[in-house]
Parts: sequence; C-alpha cells; structure tokens
Amino acid sequence: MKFDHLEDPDNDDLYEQFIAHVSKTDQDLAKEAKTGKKSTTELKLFVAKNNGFSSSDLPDIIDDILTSDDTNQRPRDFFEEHHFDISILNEDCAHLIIKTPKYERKDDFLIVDSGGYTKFLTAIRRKWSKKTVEKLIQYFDTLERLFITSDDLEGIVDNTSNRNLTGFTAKYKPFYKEERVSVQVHGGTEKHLENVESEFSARPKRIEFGQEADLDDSSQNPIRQDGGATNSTSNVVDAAIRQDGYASVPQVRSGSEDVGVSTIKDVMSSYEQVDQEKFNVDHRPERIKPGERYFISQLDLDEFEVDDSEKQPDGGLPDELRTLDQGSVMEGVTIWHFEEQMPGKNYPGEQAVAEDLEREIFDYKDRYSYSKLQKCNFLVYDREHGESFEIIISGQNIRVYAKSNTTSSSFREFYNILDTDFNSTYGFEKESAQLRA
Amino acid sequence: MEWEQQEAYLKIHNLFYSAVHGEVDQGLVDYGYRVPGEFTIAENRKKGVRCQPPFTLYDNNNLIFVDIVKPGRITADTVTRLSKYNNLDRESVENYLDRCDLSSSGYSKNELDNFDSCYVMSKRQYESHLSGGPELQERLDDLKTEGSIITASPGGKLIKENGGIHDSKIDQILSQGISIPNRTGKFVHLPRTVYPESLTVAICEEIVAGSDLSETGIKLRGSTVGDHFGREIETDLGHRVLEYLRKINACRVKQGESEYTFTKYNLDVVLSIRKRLATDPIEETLSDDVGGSSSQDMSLSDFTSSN
Repeated sequence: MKFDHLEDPDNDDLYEQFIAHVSKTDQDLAKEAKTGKKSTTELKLFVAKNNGFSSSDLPDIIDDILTSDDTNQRPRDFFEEHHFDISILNEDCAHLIIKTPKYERKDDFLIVDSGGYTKFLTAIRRKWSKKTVEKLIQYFDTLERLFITSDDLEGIVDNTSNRNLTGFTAKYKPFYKEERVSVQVHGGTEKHLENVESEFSARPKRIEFGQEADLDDSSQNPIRQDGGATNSTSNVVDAAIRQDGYASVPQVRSGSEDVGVSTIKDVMSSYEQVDQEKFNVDHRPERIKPGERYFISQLDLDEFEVDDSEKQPDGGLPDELRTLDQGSVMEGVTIWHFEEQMPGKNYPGEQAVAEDLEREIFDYKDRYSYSKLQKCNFLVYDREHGESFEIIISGQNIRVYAKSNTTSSSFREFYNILDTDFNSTYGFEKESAQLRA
Repeated sequence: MEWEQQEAYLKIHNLFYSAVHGEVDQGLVDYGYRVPGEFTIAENRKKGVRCQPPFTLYDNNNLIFVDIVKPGRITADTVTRLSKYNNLDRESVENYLDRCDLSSSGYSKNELDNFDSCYVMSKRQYESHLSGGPELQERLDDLKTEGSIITASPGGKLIKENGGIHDSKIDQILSQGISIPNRTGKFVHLPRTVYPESLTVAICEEIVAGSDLSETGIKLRGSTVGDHFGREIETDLGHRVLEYLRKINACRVKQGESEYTFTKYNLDVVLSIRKRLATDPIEETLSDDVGGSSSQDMSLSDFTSSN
C-alpha cells in the first residue's frame, strides 16, 4: 500500500487506496468462483477506543515501553522484534509501517484517529495482522479494542437501508449446562439467523452482509423467498463485522468503489456510536463538595486569615466558611441492565446464577478482587484498571452499577469476559442519570 | 447502635435514592427532580435554627427537604429535630440554594413556588409503630403533625403515608408511589449520626474502592476523612476507624506517622468490610491489644497526644 503519490490526501482518498485493493470486476469474481481462490486479501479494519493515544507519539511510547523496568517480557520482545515507522498524512491519518526483519516483512497500516477512537486499516493477511497491529493495540495502554453486543452487531446491519445479512457465526454457550453450539452460515439471510436463534438459542458473534449500490434507496431491494435466496446480486460490497471491533471487506464490485468507501466509514462510525451509547459512563456516583467552589473561586481566603498549613475540620475556620464547606452531592448514576435473551427451560434460580458467576468469573479471574455484600450482590474491584463496580443478580438478569471510579474500560472488559467465558446470550441496556442539580 | 441496625440505617438511604433515580419505574429524576445537596446547611439565623437535610429534592420551582428517620423507636428528640424544618422560611431556603452548587444546565436558583419537608422511614418501622403500643402510635402521630411521612421497602414502593406536600406534582407521584427493586445498589450515604461502623464502610466502599489502586495506593488521615464527605467528623473518630482498619489488615501505617496507606494488596479486607464489622466489632478489636502488639502497633492515645 502506497500513499506517497497522493497530494494532501483527505481521509476518503486514503480509504480509496484500500478499496481499490479489493475492487473486483465480474471477470475477477467469476475467476474466483471457478478456482475457489480469492484473488486478493481482505481489507481489514480494527476499531479501538482511544484513551490518550496519538500517532505522532508512537515512537516515544515504544521507547517508554522498551526502557521501562515494568514492561512484561512479551511486549518487550514484540517491540524489539519489529521496527515501526510512522509518517503523518493529514490531521487524522498516519501511515504506519511495521517491519519484521526475521521474516523480511514490511507491512502497511493506515491509522485513523478521530472522535475519540483509533481505527487501523490494513490489507495484510489475518495471520500477520494478529502478529503485528493487533499486538500493538493490545500492548498500548491507551488503546482498547471494542466489544459490542450481538444485538448491536445486528443493528449495524439492520439500521442501514440496502444492507442485507448474507451470513453469520452464531454461538450458544450457557453457563449452566455443558452445551456448546456454534453455527456458521454463508450465503444465508435474516431468516436463517432467526431459525438458528430459535432452534439453538445461539446469538450472532460475526455477521456478513452485502451493501447495495444506493445506501439510501431501498426501492431496489429484491424480494427474496424465505430461506431460498443466496447473496443478492445487487450487493456491490461484501463485508463482515465482529463484536470486537474487527471488520473485513473481501470485495467491492468494480465501479462501486464509492459505496465501498461509504460502507467502511459507516461501519467505523456505527461501532463508535454503539460504544459511546452503551459503554460510556455518562454520570457516576462521584461525591462533589459544593463548598470547594467557594474556597477556590469566590472567597479570598486572606480575608478570613485561614492558616492553610494545617486545615482543621473544626477550629480555625470562621463560621461563614464552615457553613459553606458542609455538605456534598452525588453527581449521578449509571446502571447497565443485563437481560438474558434466551431464558430456556431448567434455567437456574438467581442464587445459582450468583454462585456460578462468583466461581467462574470473580474467583477465577486474577484481575478481580470482590466481596459478596449480601445474597446475589457483589462489590467488585478490577485491579488492572483500578476501578470498582457493583453487581446485583435478580432472577435471570444482572444489574451492574457504576461506582465513582468506573469507566467504560472496566465495564467493557467485564462484558467481554461475561459474553466470552460465562454466558453468550445476555443483551444489555444502559440507564444513566445526573442527580445533582 | 449495633452494626446490624446501622446497616438498616444505611439501607433506608439507598432505598430512597433508588426511587430518585428510578430503577424499576420512572424515578423522581425523570419528573425533573434533582438532589442538589446532601447535608448542606439550611438555617434561619433569626430563629437560631440550623438543619442539615440528608437529601433535598429540587425541580427549579419547588424544593423539598428530605430527612431520614433513624431505625428503631421514634424518639422525642427525633420529632423535635425534624420539627425544625418548619422554622425555615423562604429566605433560609434561598440561602440554602446559594450554598448548593447549581451548575447543571437547566438548573438555577429561581423564585420558589413551594418549599416543604418530608421524612423517610422504612415501611417495617412505620408499621411497627402503627401496630405497637399507644406510646409508639403517639410518637408516630407527633411526627405526622410535623410533615408527611414517606415509607420505603425493598421490593415495595417509596410512598407517602400521610398529609400533603405543597408541591402538588411530587405529592401526586409519591401518593402513587415509586417501585423499588428487591435489592438496590449500595451507594454510601453517610447517615446523620456518624457511627464508627458506618464511617468504616464509607471509607472502604466509597473512598478506597473508589480510588485507582492499579499503580499506587492512597493515604488517609484521621483528621481529613470527613473532608471527602463534606461532613464534620471528629479527628479522634477518624483515627479510631483508621486504626481499626489497620488492625484488621485493611491498611498500613508507618510507626510514628498518622497517614494510613491503602493498596490493592489489601483489597480483599477492604471490600469485605461489612462482614468484618460483624465478626470483628470495632470496640472489641481496638481494645484487644493483648498479644496483638507489633512494632507498628500504636494505641489511640499516641495519636490524640500528637495532634
């Protein structure tokens, strides 16, 4: 992938370079169908939450990691075994080259940093992206891979007109029985997914979709026979999205490159929007003392001759100031309501759910310290993120309460663990309210 | 007050708060009410009356002071204390709003249509007074004459039991009641009387668990724990509680110093503090110096004399 020939490229110009890589004519596609081999690699996209990452700081961050005594051996090896070159392309974008001397490899990536999220685009094989850019995201403290729900994954396909589900991987992994179901369907429809959901209780973890030419025009949408149809011929872009912010585009029909560009832009912004809506802690029970406002901004402390060498709660302060310093407010609350979407027969009672959750997650995962406050009620501390949250199990559902230091990081991690290791069929909604006036 | 009863005291604050943000139904916040202050001072200087309501509800035009009735028997002192809200006048309430930091968009100090107060207690406590002897019933009646009583119960409702609140909107909402789930989130609202046990829970669950301990620890002093809550807490009480926490290995202190350090290595004790209070009562643990003295061990007098 080369960007040197582009003068003052805007983001779209850069995306077009990737789209061109997967652009295929009818002849190309016919050849692929005949030989059963893809003529190009897929365009890949990784979306990560940006918690302070900046492309231009990349050399410094790597330097810090390599010189710090606290760095784990694996990240150290990774950053020693690769070379990283970065060149800034425009306000949002940078070209990253990761060289792997051992295999004489030189891989290209586009970093797009905007709206609080960092996106990585590449056209290398997954095998190599796993060994390069995905490791980089994993080892940078300031980047976090997303993890969205099955519902929201479906939403990215359903909420856009002229987008058709064409395949999926759906899983069912309940915590209360030794049942493991994984169903892969290629060339299916929404109907197939519905059938798999009702038959196996499985929820989609990866969805393939086709994008028709006109993103806003649904008049061309062909009417399909239930279960009988395969990929709609009017799809000009094929793509796949997964829960962990990884999307891929295997092909774009030659001549519809603009639809390809708008599709990847829409996928990026959909991931970002879903993450913000569901994971951002808009309000937290942080204690705020209105009195501090007066101390800082409104009253001249000299006036009151306060000795600030040792501020005492009682004496020393004039009554007027003491009165102002009394009281506090809680900023607000955020609660995530998890709902079991596949309740099923023989579902255990809440006490059993709580016991399993305690044993399989809180006890088992090193990152958590926890305490059982009462029946079906846990106070949990994520030691790696340095954040706490509270859990209440109620029937088949779970509520997660943000504490004063909870951010999307510890909650996202918890949901990822819950969905991957415990129970694959929870959906959740967020409720957030400001309580101070 | 026994720890068990204190826990009930903490709980009633949470039941109320749950209905404010609305976990099951629409909460008071959905009707435009906010909580601008907890224990902010409201006073009528002319009459020499000073109140510190645990909660206040404010919707820009109406303000309701909400006090929490201590678990157990309603005492004459409680009735007297709660009756003071009726000595606050419009000026007191306006000054109160000045002390609150109204900084949210859409909320500011306005000409008030109504101001009022009400008293929250657990449904069980209310019913035990109703069905109790004449003395209990009389006490409840005394309280009712001072303002509306609102009861709350887990799995039940936050609901008005008597009288009318001047603000007709909230009066109607509370007449119908707001549902409360069986179990509510445990935000720490330090009650009016700061007992050592509730302060211990507040330090552990709000300050320590609410801090980022991933890289470093946090340091607390007996003289400043009250600052966090905007409450006047005796330095001595702060020290006692921190010394208790040291004894049960929730934190460490260097000999001769008064800063207690909490790190992630002691989190198990910090998080399970409610259980520890039941198994290792504070008074007993603090007085149990025999055999437990280490080089770090310091008695309370060491602190009080050095301050």
